[in-house]
Amino acid sequence: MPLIHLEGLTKVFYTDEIETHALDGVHLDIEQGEYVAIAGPSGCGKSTLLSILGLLHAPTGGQYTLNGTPVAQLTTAERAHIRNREVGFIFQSFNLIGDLTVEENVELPLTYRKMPAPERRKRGVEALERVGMSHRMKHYPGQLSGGQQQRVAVARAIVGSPSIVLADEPTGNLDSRNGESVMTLMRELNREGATICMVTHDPRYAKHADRTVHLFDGRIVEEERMPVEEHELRESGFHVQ
Amino acid sequence: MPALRSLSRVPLVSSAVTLTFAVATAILAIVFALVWHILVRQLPYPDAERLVFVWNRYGATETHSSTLSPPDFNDYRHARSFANAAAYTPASVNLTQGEPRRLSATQITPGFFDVLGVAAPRLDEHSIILSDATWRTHFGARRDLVGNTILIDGVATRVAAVMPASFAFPDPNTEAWLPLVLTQEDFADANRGNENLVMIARMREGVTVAQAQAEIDVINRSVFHRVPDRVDFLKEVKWHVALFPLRDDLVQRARPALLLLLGAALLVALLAAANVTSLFLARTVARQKELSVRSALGASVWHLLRVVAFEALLLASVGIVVGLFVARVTLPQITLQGLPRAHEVRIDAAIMIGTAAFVLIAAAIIGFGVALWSRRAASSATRLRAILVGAQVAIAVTLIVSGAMLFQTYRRLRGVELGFDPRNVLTFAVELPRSKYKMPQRQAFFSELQARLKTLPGVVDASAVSDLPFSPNDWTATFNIEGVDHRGKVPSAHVRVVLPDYARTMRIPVLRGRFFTTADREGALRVCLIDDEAARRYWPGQDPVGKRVQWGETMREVVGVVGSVRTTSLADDAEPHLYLPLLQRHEWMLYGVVRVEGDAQRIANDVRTIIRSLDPAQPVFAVQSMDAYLDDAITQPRLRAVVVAGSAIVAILLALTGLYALLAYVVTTRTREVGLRIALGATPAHVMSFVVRWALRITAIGIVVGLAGALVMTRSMRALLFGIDPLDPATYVLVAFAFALVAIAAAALPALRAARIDPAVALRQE
Repeated sequence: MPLIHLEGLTKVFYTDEIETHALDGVHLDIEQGEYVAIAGPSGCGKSTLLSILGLLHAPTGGQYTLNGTPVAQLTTAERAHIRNREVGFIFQSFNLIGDLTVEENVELPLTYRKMPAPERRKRGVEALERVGMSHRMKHYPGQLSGGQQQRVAVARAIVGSPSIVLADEPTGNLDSRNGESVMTLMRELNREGATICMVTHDPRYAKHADRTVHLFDGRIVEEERMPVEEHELRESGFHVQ
Repeated sequence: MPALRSLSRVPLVSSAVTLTFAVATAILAIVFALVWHILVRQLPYPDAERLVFVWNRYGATETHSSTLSPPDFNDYRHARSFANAAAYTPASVNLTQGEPRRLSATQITPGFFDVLGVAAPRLDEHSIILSDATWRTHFGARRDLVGNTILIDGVATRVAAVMPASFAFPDPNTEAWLPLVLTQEDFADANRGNENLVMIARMREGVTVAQAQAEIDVINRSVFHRVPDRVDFLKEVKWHVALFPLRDDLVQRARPALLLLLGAALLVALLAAANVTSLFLARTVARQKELSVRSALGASVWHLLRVVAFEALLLASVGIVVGLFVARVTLPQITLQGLPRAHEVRIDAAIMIGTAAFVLIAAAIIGFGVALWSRRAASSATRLRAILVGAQVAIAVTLIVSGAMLFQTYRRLRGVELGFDPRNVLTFAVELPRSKYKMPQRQAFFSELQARLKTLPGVVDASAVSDLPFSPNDWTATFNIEGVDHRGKVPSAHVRVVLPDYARTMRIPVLRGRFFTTADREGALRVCLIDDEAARRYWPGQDPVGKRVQWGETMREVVGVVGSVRTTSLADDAEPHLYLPLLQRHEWMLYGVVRVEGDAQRIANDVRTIIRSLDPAQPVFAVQSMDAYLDDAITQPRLRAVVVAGSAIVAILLALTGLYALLAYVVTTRTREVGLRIALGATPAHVMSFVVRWALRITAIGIVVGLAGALVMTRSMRALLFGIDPLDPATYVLVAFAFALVAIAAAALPALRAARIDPAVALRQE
């Protein structure tokens, strides 16, 4: 059974009596451990799809099954509960809270699980070690570079061991060097078993994924899989330009 | 005007700021007017700072008889420190022309108006000066009245003058001034005990109160030589004479309440300032982009500061105009009964200019302060706003605790055990003219009046007393107990002359012996009654019935003991009372008391009819229920409670508005963070609890600081409290708990709004 199963998913926005069909019958499966990129031009529905995958929005129609649970018609509180345990987010603009330290930012999703503080701290340190930011635990986001902030954001996304990490243009606010570095980090996480779904409009970064889904006018118009050889090279640790 | 256009784009903020300025201005203008015209401004007489009262003071007895006797006045009026001096005594006369009316008058010695520096003709024996109000209301402002005669107590009396409306001494209720002729006979030392004159004097230019006091002290030493038989008594009672500046003396009773009012108003103004600052901070932070553009186009820091400050001054100006208008309309509607110089209080040009300057300076400080602060980060503005809201909560809590204590004081004063039953009792006053009624006629008049009153349908009992409980008059005197050496502590008591059945009418229990009867009359055994408090204090462990007291030159036998009553102060413990029978005393004025079934006022006209039937020329006045006197007695506590509680309500509203505005602002500025938290798994309950906890943190700090402030404030107003400890823990806990609940209510809407934030939208915000 796939980790994510979308069937005939639609999303319609209503503003001033105007219907906007952001998604129009999307069928998509994402397997456990897979690294999927969603690509397409601006306004094609990428972000809407990601917000439905992340349970931030409910679809207007269709089926959405996450880890075997139908999640299309849940209440706000139920969605929050599943989101907290099953989904990790990485955003384009990092979205770290300026008043909290790096450590506190990373532990934030765990606080909503009522996890005891020592356990939270332990898992926070582990997550920061995984992204190479444990030495900056006591710093505030404002004291970090963009690349470092995104690494902290990645740590926050994985600290709760979610079923899937959703990344929305994770390199959009970074220079190419830091962008590559974050891509490499995500690849490593994927190799370690994390399922990743990344929205990007940049074909260079889409190529880091095992599979790229092209969206246009709210429909999947093309799917592209990484060649087996390239995949194997990556699995063996080679970096493909 | 760009500032107007800019402000019109944020109508809610502009209206809130203007309204806050208007409320603060109105409150400040009214309070400034009260404090300025009553406490600060000199009396409306030339060189009024040179005017003093001269009072007798007794340190050892519980009596504070402070008026002077004629010989006392004679001793001091020639003091070299005084340019001139005069004396007066309250009196009342009956205007017997047309419908009989009682006039509240003042008898004055020659020179009374000279002391005050007011132009008025000298009064001869059968002349009178009328107040402007009396001239208008009783004589229809007749131009030909001055120089003509009117009938006063049945005697033709020449109207010497009508005083201007602005003249109101000794008080605004004075309707007429009559001559007080003191002869050498009055100045004899034998009259030293007859203390019934109020002395006023104008000090010579350059003489201080201390210098005048020193001279009076020297004169007093000579008094000791002249009256050797009184020396022991005067030393025992620690007699001394004290000079007080006229204005300070007149307003001293109102000073605590007015200072309390001023403090409360300034606290409310501070709250308003905090609110305006908070709103301006939010607005300035929101227009950072615009200010940056101006800066990029070459605007100097000073220019940017002016842009923000000008808006504050503009809104303040509108608020001031509205506030002053509201104050001018409101002040005449406020009952200032019980306050001295109340007739002088008005919102005049000085008050308007002063208040406007005060508010404008505050607005300028706020405007420039906000502009300077807004150059820092937005989070810094939020922190400052949080501090301001915390301060608002603290001030509000201080005022609520103080108001709650003053309100409980008022409530407990209302519930004080009086010792008599004031319900369903109609009272009235009758003063018989001395020229017409000699002693037998007076006694006959009052006895007949009592008998006729008792025949009225619905009347349960009727009697009369010289000084009604809580009426403006009180008579306190010292007396001796036969066979007791009172060295160091002379017994004193409130003296009341009564008709038979007074105790029954007022429901005062007779505890031992008997009450007066019609047999207690001239020629019979001289008798008196005491109350339980006098018995406890002066005959401890004894039965006073049958004991004898010396009162004046007369020995009187105590024939009974009645229950203690409160007659002058609700807050103080009951004081000793001595009752004398009317039929053995000379009294011209008595208060009638009539207990009826049901509403006391319904027999008011019957009372007037009976008095007219006894003497058609005899006026009756002060017809009101006994409850009305009690209401007057608690005017000051009620005023204080209303003032502080009112300020507390305004403070709560401002603090909660501030808290709400801050939370709404925080939720708006932190939408992205809230969206993130939702994205990371925060449920609506988590988000709401996040906002409410934030509100409670600020509120809790404010409450703690406010409770500490209340500790200081309530301790300082200990003298104004009754029946409640300034540290009463229940009040503190209740206020803290209630305020926390109200803070949660204020946070509810912003919290709900936060919980409804769409995380996907919020996270896309820049």
